[in-house]
Amino acid sequence: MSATLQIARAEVTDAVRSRVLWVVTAVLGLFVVTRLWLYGDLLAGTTYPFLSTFDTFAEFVPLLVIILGYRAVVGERDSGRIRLLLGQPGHRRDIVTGKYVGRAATLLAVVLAVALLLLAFVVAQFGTDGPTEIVGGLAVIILYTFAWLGVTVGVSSTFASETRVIGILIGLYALCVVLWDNLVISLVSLVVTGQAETGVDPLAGRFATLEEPTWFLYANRLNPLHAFDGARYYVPDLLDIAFVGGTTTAPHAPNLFGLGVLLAWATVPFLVGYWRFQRADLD
Amino acid sequence: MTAIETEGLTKRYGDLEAISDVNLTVERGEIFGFLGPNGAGKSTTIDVLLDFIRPTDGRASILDDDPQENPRAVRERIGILPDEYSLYDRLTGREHVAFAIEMNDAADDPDEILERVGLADAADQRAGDYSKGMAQRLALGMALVGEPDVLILDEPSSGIDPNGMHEIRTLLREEADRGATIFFSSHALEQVEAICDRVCVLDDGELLAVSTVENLRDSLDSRSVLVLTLDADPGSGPDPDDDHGLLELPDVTDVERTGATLRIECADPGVKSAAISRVEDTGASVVDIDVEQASLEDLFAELTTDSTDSTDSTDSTEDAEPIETPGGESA
Repeated sequence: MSATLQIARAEVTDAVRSRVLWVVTAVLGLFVVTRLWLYGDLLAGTTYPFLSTFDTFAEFVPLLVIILGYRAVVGERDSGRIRLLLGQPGHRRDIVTGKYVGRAATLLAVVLAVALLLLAFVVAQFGTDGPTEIVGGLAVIILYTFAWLGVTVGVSSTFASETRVIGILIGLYALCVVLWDNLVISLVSLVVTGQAETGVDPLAGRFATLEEPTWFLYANRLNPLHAFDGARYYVPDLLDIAFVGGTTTAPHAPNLFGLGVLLAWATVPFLVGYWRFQRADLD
Repeated sequence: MTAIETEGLTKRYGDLEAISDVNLTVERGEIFGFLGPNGAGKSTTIDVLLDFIRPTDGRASILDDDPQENPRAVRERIGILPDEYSLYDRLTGREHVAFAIEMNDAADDPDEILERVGLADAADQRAGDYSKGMAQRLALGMALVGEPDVLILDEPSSGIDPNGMHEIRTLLREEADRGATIFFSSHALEQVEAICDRVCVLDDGELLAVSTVENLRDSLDSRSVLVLTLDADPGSGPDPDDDHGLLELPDVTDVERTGATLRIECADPGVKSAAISRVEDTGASVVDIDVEQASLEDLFAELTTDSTDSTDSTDSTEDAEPIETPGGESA
């Protein structure tokens, strides 16, 4: 077995025995189910009750990934465990990739467990979505998890200070969740239209009905939360088109762009972190 | 083939030079002591050897491979006990050794390794519950996996009691008998002198001396200080600098008088009795005799200040002592 997989395996064994992992998973599961119970009425009339519950994941997947992932590499440097790992045969890249694979396995298990729990509750209460909605929806959740994992492990590999890593990640989360509509979109609007007020309902972007200005459809999808939001309806539509000959009302270009953005978040920061880590002094 | 070699190895952090122009050769099969006070640059040097940090200048090689260009080849042939490390708190001792065995693709038996480092009873305990000494033993066990050609140990004695240190020395001798080269860093001569063939001394980032343990110990012994307490305080007297003619003796390098106490630095231990008779010849009677062994720190200071200004360190002690001792001892 390669050094990467050895490190990933040790990582998973260590994580499974961590109380934090189980507590976070339980809290997330409890939250998802409670939310369903509180707002369940809203789902009763919808065509896709399972996809409609995904708002929960938009905000909670990044928190989960950041909490369980931010120490991935910087924590090894901070604790000095990296010296133990690099004392064994292997390259520096094995540390970064091993950590990435190990955390990915752990986080996907948690996210999918919660998603399947949610699916079970939805099916029991409101009936089921179509198979393409379920498969496509789960695929989008996985891609979204990887997007945040790439950012988190990337930032964790780039800097030597734990405080800086957590600061950057929390800042990024705040930017995407709290400041996006009022700051980023307003700024883009100012540049494009000359007015800070967009007049677009922020929620409308997900449906991409072409009634919104084109720049908005693209700018909004730079935010992984919104890219995820659009993709959850678009990807099942794509599956429909591919396998059962359906159609989609969503325009392809902005939604494909959104998928590209998620892929970029999953890979670019990770590659930057990988590159920086190869060149760093580990002291 | 040399086990470890550095040429002009230098590491700077901004203006700070952690190590400068270190040239070191460790032959295969040697047990080599790497001595120096804390902060001297020992760990920096080792970190470069392990490719944890990259040198600003110069180069290092282990078994003729450059650790920076060929880290995996180097790490396959060495075992490391690093300085500041941590374990997987939630993995057991046996799981740690099994991890090292798989990483090394080795055929060792985890329990045999744990037995050798004295952790057989704690094999199934999580490393998070280990004491510092147990963690150190476990890390050493992981370093032994795969019969490495070179063992690099950074302050292996930290956290280990003297008894445990004895066991570890026995273990290291077994490794040396098998043909392994052992590179052993420490801030204390006692730790390395029982086992090392050769030692080098690093201070303030510079390599001061490479020598055998005997030579180093000799130069330490020769720096012993004879402390004589006289029956009466001669006071600031007619001649406070009166050295009782001691400096005329060969091998007496310095005399300090503090109240009734005379500190006589001897370059050769054999001069002590002559020094005592000389003092008694001057009419003073000696009521107490004490010998202070020079410490490794004194030697570091000596080696360092030889090249610069040798009076600095003695001045400061002279200033401090008269305030402390006279009242109490002469009363």
